[in-house]
Amino acid sequence: MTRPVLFALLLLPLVAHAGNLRYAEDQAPALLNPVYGSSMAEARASELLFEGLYTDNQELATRPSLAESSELMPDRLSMIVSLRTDVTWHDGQPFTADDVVFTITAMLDKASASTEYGRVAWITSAEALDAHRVKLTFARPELHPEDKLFFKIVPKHLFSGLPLKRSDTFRTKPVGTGPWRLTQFNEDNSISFKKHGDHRNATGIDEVTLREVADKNYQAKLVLYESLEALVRVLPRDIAMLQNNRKVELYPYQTNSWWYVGYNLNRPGIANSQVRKAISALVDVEALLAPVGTGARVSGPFVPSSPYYNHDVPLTQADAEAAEAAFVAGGLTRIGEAWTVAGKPVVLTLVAHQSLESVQEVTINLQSQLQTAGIRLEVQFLDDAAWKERVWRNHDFDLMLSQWTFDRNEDIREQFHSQGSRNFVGYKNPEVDLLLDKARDAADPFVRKATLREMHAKIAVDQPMLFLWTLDSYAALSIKVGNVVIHPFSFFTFAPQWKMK
Amino acid sequence: MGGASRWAARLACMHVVSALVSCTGDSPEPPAGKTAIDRSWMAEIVKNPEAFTTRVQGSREGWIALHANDWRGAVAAGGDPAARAHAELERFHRVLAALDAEAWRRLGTTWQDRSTLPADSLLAWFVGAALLDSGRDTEAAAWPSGAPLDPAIAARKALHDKIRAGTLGLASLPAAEPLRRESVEGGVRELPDPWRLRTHARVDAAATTPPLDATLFSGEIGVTLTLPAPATDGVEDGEACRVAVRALDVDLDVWRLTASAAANDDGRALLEDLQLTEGTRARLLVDRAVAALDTGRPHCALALGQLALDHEAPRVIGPINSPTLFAVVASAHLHVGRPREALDALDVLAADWPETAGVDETLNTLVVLQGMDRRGDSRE
Repeated sequence: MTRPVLFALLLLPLVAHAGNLRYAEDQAPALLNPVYGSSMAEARASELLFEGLYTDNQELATRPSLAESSELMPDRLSMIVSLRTDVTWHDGQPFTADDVVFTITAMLDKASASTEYGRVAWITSAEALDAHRVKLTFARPELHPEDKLFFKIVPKHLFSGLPLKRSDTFRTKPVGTGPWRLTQFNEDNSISFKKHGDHRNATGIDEVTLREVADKNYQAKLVLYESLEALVRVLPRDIAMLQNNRKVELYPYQTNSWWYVGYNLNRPGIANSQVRKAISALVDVEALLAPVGTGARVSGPFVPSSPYYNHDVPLTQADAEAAEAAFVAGGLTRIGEAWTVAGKPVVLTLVAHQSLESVQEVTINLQSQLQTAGIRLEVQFLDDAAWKERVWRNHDFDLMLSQWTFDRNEDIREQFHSQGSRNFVGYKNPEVDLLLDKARDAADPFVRKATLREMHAKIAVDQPMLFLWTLDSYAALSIKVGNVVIHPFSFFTFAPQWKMK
Repeated sequence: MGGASRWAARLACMHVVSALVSCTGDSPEPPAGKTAIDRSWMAEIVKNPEAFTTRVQGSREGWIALHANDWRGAVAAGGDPAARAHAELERFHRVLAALDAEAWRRLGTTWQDRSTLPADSLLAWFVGAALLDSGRDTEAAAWPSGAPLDPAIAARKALHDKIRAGTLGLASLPAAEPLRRESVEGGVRELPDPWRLRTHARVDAAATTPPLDATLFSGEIGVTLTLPAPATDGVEDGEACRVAVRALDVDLDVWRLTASAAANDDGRALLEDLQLTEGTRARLLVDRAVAALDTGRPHCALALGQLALDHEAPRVIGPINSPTLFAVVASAHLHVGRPREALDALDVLAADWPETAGVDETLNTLVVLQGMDRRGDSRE
């Protein structure tokens, strides 16, 4: 099918109901169970459907959501959370303490293999005292435990028990307590949501539609043609077009998001630090970034405006001579144009998620840079299921191209601690583990800041990843949508206050 | 070639010299029925490009720098634009100084709210000093004050006093932060100089003389941007500010089309090369954003700042994005409770404005403090 025809089809559902907000995702989430969240598209949709005990107010300070109040015990080792009594699930069932206990237990359950384990690992037990009171017990004294109770709650009555499975039918029939309820997954991969009539807060938007628009080149045009009201991320090349259109407004928002090429340290050759150093020295990162958009290069696992970013750590530079020396030190031999090990040319496999923005431009460019220098790179684009299987579960790759997006806490423990659940590259450095522990336990912000900057420097030396860049993030919204305040991570947290004109 | 470069080339090539009219306020009375924009310096440039060329020829480098929001460059070039550049610098540093004081206040109160403000630290004294220096005496009274206990701090304060009095130059102020280091278990607390930015603002203010060309490349084009009244109940209507800008944009779009159609080739070229409407719009919005901040309307200031930004080059200072724009956005973000976003705006200033290092660190510490008990989330 030709592109113009595709575009025409995308325009078909032109007639929007008043009060309907349609937004685009590159790929619609196939799974809407917050116990297994992994992508930003899922996080955004979850924000419409589900709620946590606590959430952010517009000043990004903690405020109760499903909780009504809480009492921290004097020893700070437990707290009692009193729940709201006016909350119902989208199927009409009442929300109770059992749901909270079930959610926490499921996330902690090793057999359930929740991606959210790290967010509840500090809780040792959850107990329902009555229908609307929960007692939480902690591993260590906590100063402000409500700050950690943002994870989404799922309904116990829709699961048959533990362990939970990623394949549970709940994934496509999610029921939450949030301001919108899911009405259906549509054949065109769009997802429809309607206002949850029993929700305690009125919303200015009756319906929300998540439209999958895989070709990002069309997303901006769909906003201009009024087939969408919102883009969560605008391609840099579309910014000029949208900036000059009076029906649309751009909203810059801060995301702690950075791109990287991960080295699989479980692979013998790549475990050699000289080899990693050599590969990194072959890459001209500026040349990779140029076609992707505006942004800033990063030298480590934070964005440059982060309190934890260490500005003394230099950016990697393409340096063919340094790469050659490092390859030789790493035991490789150059035969003709190719670098070899035991007489065989080095061939590396790079995996990338197929929906990663500009993934083809970046990988082709990277492939070309390495090929020119004598390293063959085989690229595999994976769909979501294959990505989870290959990267998240089996760690089956040589190199991976991806990005991480963090909320404002920029907590990289899961990515870089040797026990981290998202440490897909298999990075282990006892010193870094200690620094991560020290940062977590620090009572003084100056100490935490300095500790994580020190850790940044150590990780940059180890190079478990080639850190690439952070991109400027823009949302675009039709001027028909008013009162827009965007949450920098979850995007839709304040959408109930948005107004459709 | 960028707009500024093209303009520079054009200035070098244009030879037509005619009487001064446009930029000094002595232009002929406009015909009845003209809009405010039609009577502005911006319109005069498009209508009388030769006069404009003549006007700026005497201080060409300075005007080019001022147009690009390179204020230090304009000061260095001297001539008429230098006074305007000093005024811009004064406002920029004033906004930053206010931001710095607010960052100190929030750091102190947030820490105090956690009941862990370290008793052995001079941090509380620094909070008081920053607030006192910015004229927030009532709030400063809640914090320790008096003569600095530490001789090094007392010496720094005396140095600031001398610079502000004109006895010493700004160059005598050590550039490096921090002013004070305190040992703490597991690390060091580093407290930046709480007076630095206000001293910069004072020095800039002293150098500001009545500008000869009061409005050229300013946001003053006679347009009144009607913004909602200052919030009295703490609830602000940021959306109303966006609506006001949309109305302004309609006027500017109409003016641009009609002015372009009426202009000769040189006038049209200047309209495009100088990015006249875009740059003027941005300056006007920044002016109003500063006013909104000064009158307690940070949501409005934030909306105006975001709408002023050149999104095609969001991290580049140039004819559209001025340093004050980023200072305003940072300050507005802090006032609406988003210090992490304020850091993003300040990051743009870090390389060229080293005096922002202190306020950047204070905000860094505040952000870390606010997240001390949080458990982060991350997604691919």
